[in-house]
Amino acid sequence: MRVRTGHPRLAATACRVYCVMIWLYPPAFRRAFGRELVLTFRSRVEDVLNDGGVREWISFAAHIAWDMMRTSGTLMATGGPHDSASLLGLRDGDAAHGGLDHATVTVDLMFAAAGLVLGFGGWYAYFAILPLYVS
Amino acid sequence: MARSKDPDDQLPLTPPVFHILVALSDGERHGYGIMRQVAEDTAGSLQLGPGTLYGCLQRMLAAALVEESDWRPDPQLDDERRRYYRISPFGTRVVKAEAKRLAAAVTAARARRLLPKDSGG
Repeated sequence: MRVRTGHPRLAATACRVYCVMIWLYPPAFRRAFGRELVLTFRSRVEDVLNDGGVREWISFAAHIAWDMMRTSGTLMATGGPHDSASLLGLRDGDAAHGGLDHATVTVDLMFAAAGLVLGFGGWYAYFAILPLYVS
Repeated sequence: MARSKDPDDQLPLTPPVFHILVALSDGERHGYGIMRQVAEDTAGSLQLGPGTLYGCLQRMLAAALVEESDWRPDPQLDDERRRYYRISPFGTRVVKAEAKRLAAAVTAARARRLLPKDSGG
């Protein structure tokens, strides 16, 4: 992966966080466009880091968060049953027999992804920020 | 979105879909290329996020407004893993129909003095 920014660690961290965030999208959408989403995000991050300041970075982060919330909700609402998550790999017909509630699994996955983001953020804060104050 | 051969059935287009089609009207682009072209065309007033862009492209592929291209640039110049998109003949007809519809709306606004006569938009 080519790096085109003077802040490679920040860009890599942002991409890792985004890779976790895209789990909020329906599985079919993620399978079709997941790699493209990350490549496009990476290019945008590099441009913002190269050309913008702190203000642009904050604005960009807010824009991405808003885009993620809005589009994940829309895609889940319009994606249809085939786009719903199935942790067991079952299809719609299987769910009818097995009583699998796709909507509940989808919401559970959203909370799981949010938990992962908060978990990573918490550990990062614990290891990176806390030592500055303790020492 | 159901496939239709009548462009009017697809109208009105949402602003992101319209601007994506406009961005693709002069050549094939990858996702980030589309994003940058749309920002440039709208003087920064429409900034597409990755989710919005690929959500639109998914629907546009299903509606046969755009096609995935086999063309790839020199790997030295670009990341060969990126997918390129091009506007389809049907997409061209749809974006022309939408541009005509918007032009009629601008004409009506101008007739009611909501826009100056020499205004470009």
